[in-house]
Amino acid sequence: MVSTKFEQGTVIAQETLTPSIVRTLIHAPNIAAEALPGQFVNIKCGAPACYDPLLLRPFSFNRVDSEGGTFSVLYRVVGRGTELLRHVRIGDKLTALGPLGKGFVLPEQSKQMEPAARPSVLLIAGGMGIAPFYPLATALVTHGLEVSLLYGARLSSDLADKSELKALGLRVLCCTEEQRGECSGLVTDLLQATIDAGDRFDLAYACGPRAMLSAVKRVCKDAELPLQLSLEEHMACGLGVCLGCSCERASDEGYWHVCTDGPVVWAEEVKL
Amino acid sequence: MSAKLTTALCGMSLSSPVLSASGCYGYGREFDKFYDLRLLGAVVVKGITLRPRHGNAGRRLVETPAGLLNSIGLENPGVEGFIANELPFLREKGGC
Repeated sequence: MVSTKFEQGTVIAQETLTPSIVRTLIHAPNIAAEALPGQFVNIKCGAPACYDPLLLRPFSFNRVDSEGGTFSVLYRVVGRGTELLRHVRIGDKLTALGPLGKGFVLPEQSKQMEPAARPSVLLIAGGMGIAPFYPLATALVTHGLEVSLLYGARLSSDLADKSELKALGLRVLCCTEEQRGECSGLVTDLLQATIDAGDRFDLAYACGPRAMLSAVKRVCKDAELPLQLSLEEHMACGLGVCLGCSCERASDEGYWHVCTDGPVVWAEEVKL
Repeated sequence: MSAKLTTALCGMSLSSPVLSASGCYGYGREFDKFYDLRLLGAVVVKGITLRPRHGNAGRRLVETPAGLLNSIGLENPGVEGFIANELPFLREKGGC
């Protein structure tokens, strides 16, 4: 049972990775104590007494230090909320609500996966879809699993967390949309090429733009590779109250709600 | 709850004049983790239709300056679904 709570956090660090990608580290021990890989936190990005913007913003946990009582969020500045968040200063107070949602199902908890002596796991990230993967990769490596990452971004400078994930021991293959560098193209092409080359995996996890997830789902289905997706959707409450963050169900009529049924779902459960 | 707060509404006696607003409060269950629902005079649940409704396709929310526009499409479990799945919890919390 997830114990969601409001907490007044304190900004510990602001790390500007590129002109538009920022990591904010927050001390909020009650939330950090219970956060699991793939879950998210809603953060009020404006001043404490200001209700414009009204809505808290959802962010995946990018780092969690449950003993130190901190977590961080990694984001691209794309709108009013993230623009406000990038300008918070060390010592500022932020209201946070979390942990929220259902996180990644680890291989030993997964019924979809065939038992394997040392399961081989594939992570597929598009752009800021990398954000939830560091805590997941840490858990997978700790369990002794072999972990590979396919990571696509528009620019090579956008490949946040690449070296940190390599340092965990992951095999990391990157591609960008630049016409230079080690690999040029989309991460979905890289996925297809990896599978065509004969690489075999027992379970995959993907996070990124909806069109990318749709293409990844097709490729993994053809390869009979069980796949979990971390979804993103416009969201208000994060608690399953407003029902705003809908995602069409695959098996019958109706909708999942990304905030409480997800954000992580099995690919076969959703229409993309 | 103080007797001073007791309020009469449409023939019902409420322990407090503070009620949740319909739509913003789900079926009460979602807020039970934050505080004791019995502190409210009543929980006003989301709108319920005779038959279940899945709600609207596509994007349902747009933020506005200091506000929010939504078009959920009255997604709800219908009267029978409400009675079977939500009402027992509300009764347990003192609802009548």
